[in-house]
Amino acid sequence: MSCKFVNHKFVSKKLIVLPILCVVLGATGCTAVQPWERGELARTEMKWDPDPMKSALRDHIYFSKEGSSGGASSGGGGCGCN
Amino acid sequence: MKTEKSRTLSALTSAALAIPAVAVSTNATADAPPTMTEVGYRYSQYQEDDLAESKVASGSTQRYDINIHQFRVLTPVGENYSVDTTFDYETMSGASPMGTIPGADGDPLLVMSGASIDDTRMDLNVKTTRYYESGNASVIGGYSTEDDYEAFNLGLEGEKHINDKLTTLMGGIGYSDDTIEPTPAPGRVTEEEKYTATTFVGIAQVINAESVLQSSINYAYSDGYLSDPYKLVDQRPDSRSSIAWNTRYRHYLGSLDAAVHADYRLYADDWDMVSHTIGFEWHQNIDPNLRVIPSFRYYSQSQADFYKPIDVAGIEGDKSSDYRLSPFGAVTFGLSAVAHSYNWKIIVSAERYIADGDLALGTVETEHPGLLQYTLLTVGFDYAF
Repeated sequence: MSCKFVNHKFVSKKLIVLPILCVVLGATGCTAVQPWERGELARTEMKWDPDPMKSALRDHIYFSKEGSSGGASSGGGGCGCN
Repeated sequence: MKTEKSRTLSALTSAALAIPAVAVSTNATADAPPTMTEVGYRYSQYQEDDLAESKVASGSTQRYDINIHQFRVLTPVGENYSVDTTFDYETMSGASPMGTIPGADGDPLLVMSGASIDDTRMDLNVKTTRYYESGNASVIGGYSTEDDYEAFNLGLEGEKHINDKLTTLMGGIGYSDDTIEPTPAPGRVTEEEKYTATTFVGIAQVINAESVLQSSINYAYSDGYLSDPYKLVDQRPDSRSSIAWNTRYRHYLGSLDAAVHADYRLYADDWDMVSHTIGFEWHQNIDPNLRVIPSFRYYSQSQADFYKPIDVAGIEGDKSSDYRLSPFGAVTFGLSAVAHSYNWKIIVSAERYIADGDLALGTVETEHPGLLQYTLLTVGFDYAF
């Protein structure tokens, strides 16, 4: 009985380069937005996490059901989610 | 695969070093404590789908039924501080996979526990933030307890706005000390510990008046007992290193009065696991007091290098038949509605999660019979005063 590994080779290099390109192109393509022009950016629906409780619940559920995790935070404790 | 994993980790590490040693904010334009106290509550219920009898060799086909109450209070303290307190109360009952054996056709069948597992989890987290002219710093402390599990965690995070607040840098460190005391049984461990240290750095950039981009790298290292004591055969390495690269994009479409969220995470660890996670949300304002949010998430992971579809007792070395270490893909479809005014908000949402070997990015020759499907329902409110 064997089980093939999921083959990520065909995507991993491109997907590693993609975020780098996004950041570089984003930074070089950005405009000098004045403070009075940032009203849309301050909208609730434009926040990184408009609903932190929902994000926390999702993170907890996915942490307990999947093999990988990790985000832009210092993290919480583990759980005995069997 | 070793070589591939090493290349991926190496590329991610190089990328991490290329990012300035700090990172991103939750709000691209302002940095001040909240002006009002906010309280929030969510009730969520999710039911894992029953297993098909054809996939189970013994035990219950009924999986977990989970109820979660979430409470939150965010309050300003003085002119420069805020305290954000969350408390979760979670109860679960049902059955869990304990292992796998070969079926008549050679494919794995599940050995399930009885449907008598009951557990309660409580999780308290307190985050205190100090706000500065162009940044903030937070101290985080948390404690969670279950019938057989206990965890303490501490964290420090900071953000710094530069470039006329068009760029935000952020970083943080965290530490968790976990103890497991499983229900006693012959041959089962009695008490074990693990430690996890995390660190992250990132950067957010205002692209224009309608869009902002964030990219961050998270590194985590766990050491200690990482196995599952309730599995019939389960022996994992005593350490794990992982890197997760998150990139998030927000764009406001003025003509449609909607915001688009697009997220991507690339994950790799020294258990040979690589995963890709893509998320999309469309925040559509229907009128000034109602927002509807359809969402979609795609996830795909490769297997851990010691994963075995079928348990084989007595062989040397690391081994596990845990479905969470198997190769699979998953999709989540969600729909939320948020009714809101200047100081209150009511939230209703539903999500459907489906994991399947056929959804993986590559070929899965033997799908784990324990992959999950569940429906998650949430209702709640926020109120500010």
